[in-house]
Amino acid sequence: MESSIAFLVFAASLWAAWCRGPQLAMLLFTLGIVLTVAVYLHHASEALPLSF
Amino acid sequence: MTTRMAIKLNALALYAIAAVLLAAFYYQFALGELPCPLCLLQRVAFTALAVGPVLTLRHGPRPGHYGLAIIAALVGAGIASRQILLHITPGDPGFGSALLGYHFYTWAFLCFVAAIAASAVMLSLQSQYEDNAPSPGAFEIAAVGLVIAVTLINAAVALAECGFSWCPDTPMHYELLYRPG
Repeated sequence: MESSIAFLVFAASLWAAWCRGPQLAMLLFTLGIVLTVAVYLHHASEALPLSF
Repeated sequence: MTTRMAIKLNALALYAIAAVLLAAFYYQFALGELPCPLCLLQRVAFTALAVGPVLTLRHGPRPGHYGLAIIAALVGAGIASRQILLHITPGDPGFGSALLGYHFYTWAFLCFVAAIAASAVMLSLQSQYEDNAPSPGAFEIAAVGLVIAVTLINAAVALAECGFSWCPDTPMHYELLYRPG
């Protein structure tokens, strides 16, 4: 469900970019980016098979 | 670079983003490949990449619009690079099918890097900022409508796949459509 919410936030940002002002679009864009990074960190818990 | 040409190029970028997302649908529905959570997040990043071009089509070219595209592409490249690193060890078959020898997360990484480079080049072309933006035509309106429609379909498909909880790391079926037994 987390991806669906992120898609909906960016759909709202796209709609705002077209129908409303840039400020609302950028606010929703920022919200979407924060949400996407949070979801990424939730799923990126597995250790990578790397050695540096 | 005239304002009109910059707007046309931004509209073409929206068609390219929609084409990438529609190609992902083809592999999901025609070949039955369910996207993993990181794959879905890369699709999310592609929709985020569209916000800057839509702002340009509606309000004219601004450096900040290209900045939004670069931020979205950096996030997408970061997610795709993690998936590449998850499957980088020798003998690992990777996740999903490959196209021209590369898995889709590798193609996504290359697309995001190309988007960063294209946005940086566009950002630096000063002459596009001098004129007022013309009213959007049918070509631009169709591009915006297409990318919003594909984003909403992605939201519905992701909900069908993951249900009302966290998406499983390796999805095996559509949670909302699955009837055990």
